[in-house]
Amino acid sequence: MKSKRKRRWIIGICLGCALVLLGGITVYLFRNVRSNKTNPEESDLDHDYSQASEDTIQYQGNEYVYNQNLTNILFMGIDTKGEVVLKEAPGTAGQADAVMLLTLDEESRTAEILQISRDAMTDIDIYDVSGDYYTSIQAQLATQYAYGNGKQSSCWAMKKTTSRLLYDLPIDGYISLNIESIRILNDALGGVTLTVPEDYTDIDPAFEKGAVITLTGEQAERYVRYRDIEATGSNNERMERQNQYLLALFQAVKTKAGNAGNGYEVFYTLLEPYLTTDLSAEEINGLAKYHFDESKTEYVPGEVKQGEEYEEFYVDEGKLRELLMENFYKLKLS
Amino acid sequence: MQRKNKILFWFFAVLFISAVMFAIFYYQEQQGRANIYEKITDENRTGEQVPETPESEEPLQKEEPEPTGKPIEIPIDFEALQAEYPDIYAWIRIPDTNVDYPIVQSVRDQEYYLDHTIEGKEGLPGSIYTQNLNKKDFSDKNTVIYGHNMKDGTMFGGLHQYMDPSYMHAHPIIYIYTSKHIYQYQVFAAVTYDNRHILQSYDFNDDGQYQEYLDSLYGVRNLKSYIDTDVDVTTENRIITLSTCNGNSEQRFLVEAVLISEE
Repeated sequence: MKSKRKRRWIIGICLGCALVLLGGITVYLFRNVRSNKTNPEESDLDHDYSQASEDTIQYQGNEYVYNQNLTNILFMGIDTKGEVVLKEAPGTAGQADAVMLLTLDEESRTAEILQISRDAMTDIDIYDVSGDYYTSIQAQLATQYAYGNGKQSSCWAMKKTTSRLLYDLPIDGYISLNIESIRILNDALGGVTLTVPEDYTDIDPAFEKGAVITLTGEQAERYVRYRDIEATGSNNERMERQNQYLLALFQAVKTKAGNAGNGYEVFYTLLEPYLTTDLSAEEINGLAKYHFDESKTEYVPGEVKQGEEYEEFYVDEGKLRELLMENFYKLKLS
Repeated sequence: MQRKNKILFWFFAVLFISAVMFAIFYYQEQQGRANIYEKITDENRTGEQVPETPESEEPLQKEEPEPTGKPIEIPIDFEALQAEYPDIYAWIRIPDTNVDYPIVQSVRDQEYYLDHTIEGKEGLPGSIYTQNLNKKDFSDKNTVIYGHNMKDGTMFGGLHQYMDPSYMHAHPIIYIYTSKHIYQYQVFAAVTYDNRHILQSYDFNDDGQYQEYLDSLYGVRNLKSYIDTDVDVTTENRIITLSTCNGNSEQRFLVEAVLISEE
C-alpha cells in the first residue's frame, strides 16, 4: 500500500516535470515560428491580431456586413442595332439599353429593383476580337456589352463592370433579353396592361396620361424603347417606363404560368433566341416566389450631362454609397 | 482498459495545462511589451496642447511648404527619447485617435522593428517604423510608415476606420514631428490595396511612376476604401503612406496623406 502511494508521487512529479517542459517547448516554438518573417507586406504575423475582419465595412461610425439573405441578378435589355467604337476598337454585340439589378430577399420573399442608367460613366474594359483585354476607358455603361460575343462573354463583362460601378457589390447571376423579344412575349401573354403615368402621346397617341391600356406587342416595344434624343435627360424618363413595363410584364407572366411554377418551360421556346442567362430553369421559375415592390424601385443617383456626342450620366458617389449601405448591408452584430 | 483511460486523461490534462500556461505567459509578455508605449506617450504629453484641427468641410488650402525663420516649438523631447532609444527619429500623432507614437528606423535590419518594440523586445505590438529606403527627414516624395493592425486599436489598429468618409473628415490631419520640424499632412485616401512592396514597386523620383501609383490609388473602388477627391494631389506633392495589415496576406490597408505645411 505504501509503495503504491510512493509510486503515485513519483508519477505525479514526473508528470509535473513533463508539463513544465512541454509548456516551455510550446512557448519556445511559438516564438521562433513567429519571428520567421520576411517583409512587412507579406508578414502574416499580425493576422490573429487583425482588428476588423475583411468583410467589415466601417460607415458613419458603425460596422456593417453584407446582407447574406440577398441575391442580386443583373437584368439587361439589349438593343443590337448599331456598333460601338471606343478607342478605335469596334464593339459589335449591341448595347445594354436597360440595366437593372433585381435584388431578391430570401427572408422576406420580396424583390426590389435598382435601376442603373445606361449612360452611367464608368471604366469600360475593351477586349479585342480574340477576347483579350486591351485597355479601359471611361464610357457609358451600356457600351460594355458591345465588347463581347453578344452572349455569355458580353453578359460576363457587363456583370463585372456593373459590380465595380456599385463598389464591388456581389452579383450572383444575369439575365439578358433582346429588346425585340418584348413584342413576342407581350403578344404571347395576350398583351400587358398598365396605367400610363405621364402624357406620352408623342410616343403613341393612345398613351394619354391616366389611360389604362393593354399594350400590343408593337406598342410595348415603343413604350420601352422610345427616347427623344433631342431632349436632355430623356433616358431617365425611359428608365421609368422600362421599370413600369417590366414589372407589369413580370406580373402577367406570373399570372399566366408562374403559379404553376413553370414559367420557364412555357416561354422558353419562344424566348430562346433572345435570351442569355446563367440561371438554371429552376432558378428562373423560382423568381415567381418573390413579390416585386414597385414603390421601392431605386435609381442610382447622379446627374445627366451632355457629352460630346451622347448623353453622359455622372454618378453621385456619396449618395450611391449611402444607397448601397442602406439596401445591401446591415449593421454587424457584435 | 482503465489504464488506457488514465493515460489518455493525463495526456489531455498536460495538454490543457500547457495551453493555459502558454496563454497566460503570452498575454503577460504582450502586456509588458505594449506598456512602453503608454509610458513614453504619457511622458511626451505633459503640458502640451494638440493644435486644433480645422473643422471646416472645405479642403485645406495647400501652401507651398516653406521653412520659416522663427524658432518652432517641438512638443516631443527627442533628446531624452534618443538617449534611451537611439533609433527613434520622429513622432507621429493623429489628434483624437490612438495614433501617438515614436517612429523608428533600423540601420541594420529592415524588418527588425516589425516584431520588436522600441526597447528591442521581440514580438507584438512591434513598433511604428520606416525602412531605410526612406530618408529620415521626410523629404522623400513618399515615406512609407508601417505599424501593426492591433485588435485593441493600438498601434495602427484604428486606421481601418478611415474607410468611413465621416471618420476621415473628422480626423483629417496627421502630424509628424522630428527634432527640428513639424510636418502637417492631410489625409486624402484610405485604400484596401494589394500587398506589393510600395517603395520597391514604384520609383517616386520618377514622376511617371509616382503618377502611376496615385492613379492606382484612385482606381480602387470598393466600400472598404474611401478617397477624398476634394483634396488635390499631384506628383509635385510629398505624401506619407501609413501601411497596416488587412486580416489576410494578399492585402494591405493604406492611409495616404499629403504634406500641407512644414515648419
